Amino acid sequence: MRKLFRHRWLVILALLLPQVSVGEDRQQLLQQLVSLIHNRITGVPPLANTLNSMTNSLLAGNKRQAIRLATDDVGFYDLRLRGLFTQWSNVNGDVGADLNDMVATLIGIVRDNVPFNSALSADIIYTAKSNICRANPYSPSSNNHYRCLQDKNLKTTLQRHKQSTLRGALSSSAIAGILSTRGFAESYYSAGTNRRATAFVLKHFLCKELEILHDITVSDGYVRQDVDRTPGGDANLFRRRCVGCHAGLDALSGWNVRYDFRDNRLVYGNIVQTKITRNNLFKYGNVPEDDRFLNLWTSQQLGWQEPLTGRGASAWGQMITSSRAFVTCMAEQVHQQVCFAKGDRETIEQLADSFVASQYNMRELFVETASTCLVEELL
Amino acid sequence: MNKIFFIIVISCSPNNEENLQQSIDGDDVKTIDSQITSELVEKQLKEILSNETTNQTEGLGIRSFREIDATMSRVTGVASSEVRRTYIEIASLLPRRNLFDSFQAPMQVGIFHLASNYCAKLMANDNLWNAKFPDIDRYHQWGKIPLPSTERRAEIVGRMIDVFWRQGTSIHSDRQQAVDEVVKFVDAAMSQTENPNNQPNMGDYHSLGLVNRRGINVVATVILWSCTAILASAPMIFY
Repeated sequence: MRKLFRHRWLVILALLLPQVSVGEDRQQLLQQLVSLIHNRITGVPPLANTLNSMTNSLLAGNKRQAIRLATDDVGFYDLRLRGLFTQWSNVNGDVGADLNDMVATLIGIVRDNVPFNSALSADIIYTAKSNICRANPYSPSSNNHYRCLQDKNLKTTLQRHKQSTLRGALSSSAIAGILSTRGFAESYYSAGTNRRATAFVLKHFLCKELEILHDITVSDGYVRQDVDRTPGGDANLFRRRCVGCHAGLDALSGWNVRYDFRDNRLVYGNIVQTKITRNNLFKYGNVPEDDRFLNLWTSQQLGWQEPLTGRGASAWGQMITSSRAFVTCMAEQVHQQVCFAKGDRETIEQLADSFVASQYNMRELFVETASTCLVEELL
Repeated sequence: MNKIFFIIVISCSPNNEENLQQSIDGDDVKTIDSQITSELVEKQLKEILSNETTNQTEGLGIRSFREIDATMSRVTGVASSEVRRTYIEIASLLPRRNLFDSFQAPMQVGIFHLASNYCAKLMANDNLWNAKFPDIDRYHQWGKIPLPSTERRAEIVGRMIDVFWRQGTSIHSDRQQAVDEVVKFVDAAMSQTENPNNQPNMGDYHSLGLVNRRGINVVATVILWSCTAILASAPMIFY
């Protein structure tokens, strides 16, 4: 009942539906429902022909087909997806940030029904089609290409490429979906020790903040030299607080130690970047020698799949996206986007199952979610 | 029915004489005073929010800044690029996220400002206008012509609601109540427009064709206010 109350506007519609005669009134109410679905999926009202097509599909009992029509609207790409992915693309979660290669690539992956679980590992990137933004061609050291693209129709202007074939490409061992895009690097590899890259992925792709993963029972053997073991002169503080994040995080973050963002571009070294090992506050601390990672947060209920160790960003990205937490996290975020509400556990698990069954098709996840929270409660 | 359906985001106090100020220069309708646009809706929103717990606002959403711009563009047919300058100026005033609870009264000012620009562009484009409102002649009555009759004003407003909201909303407000609300707003706006104290601003209407040497084009001004009010209304912004 509480769930229904949450969608009380829709409940009002539902109550009205049986009472109106079959004909224009019912047609009008259905159109209003269709309009709501379209608005939630795309951020804009439907065009007249889309409204009619969606209504007809709904009348014919084909709910999912009706919703799929909404995902063909440019608003789904330019507004809904761009808004969601732009939040992920910068430290402040600013939805107004410029379009960049990371966001464009995620949008392209959804548009082309590329399995979304490859977003953190595949050799893929999207740029503008060759006849668009010609004055600002793709460059690994500038975002002008994507700034030029951001006011264009992203549904029709994006073109898929392999990162390895673009000008100024990184070595193949560096390529890992959005993790090796310039936009990601600018936000998460510039300065610092790249730990925030790991924290960001955990937050947006597993829906887990470090505070949630905090676990002081994990071995501190991988905590790096730059972590003070006696902060403020208090060794207990390290044992009680600091180690809870650093033990798991430092072991997990080996994947990114060869990345840096310098001179306005993503840099990938053959060895560990000096910024990773520059600070030495505890000489017995761990010193990463290569890009191996180890997942020590296995006691967390994240549904990890083997292997839990490996080398490099691509392997790490695959470990993240093969976890159950990844699919439930995507389901939670899409549910919030479409339903403007946090889904209950059962609903989220069902949506996650359908996401996996669809081969990680993000468009279908939007369709299934809208079907769950907007249509099934009514019809 | 939920009160939110009935909120017109822009609203006004008829006695708020000193604050109604519209200036139009070239591309932009520049200033819409916040006090005019916020009083009633703020009161109504407070009432809603005080009566309902936060989690009960789950399931309600507000369009983000890009979505508001795209929605106004879609329902008016005016390209976003035509109001780009204004959009960039006021984008920071518009909602950033879709969360209903994030809506703040000052956002109405930005929404209203953008709506007025889209309406001005729509009115200036014969093809667009005639496609949407072929039965509303917006420019051809000049001089000291009295306000259109209440019935005619309601007719204009109703027609615009039908055109804009049919596409723009999932659930219609009570149409008659919405018409009455907008007509009241337009009446108040017009009373300010005719106030001699606002004469310095009258010249700004010229570029839009709302005024010429014979005086203000009353019909066009009524239409601009009506269009703006409807385009900035809650059913266009919330979903």
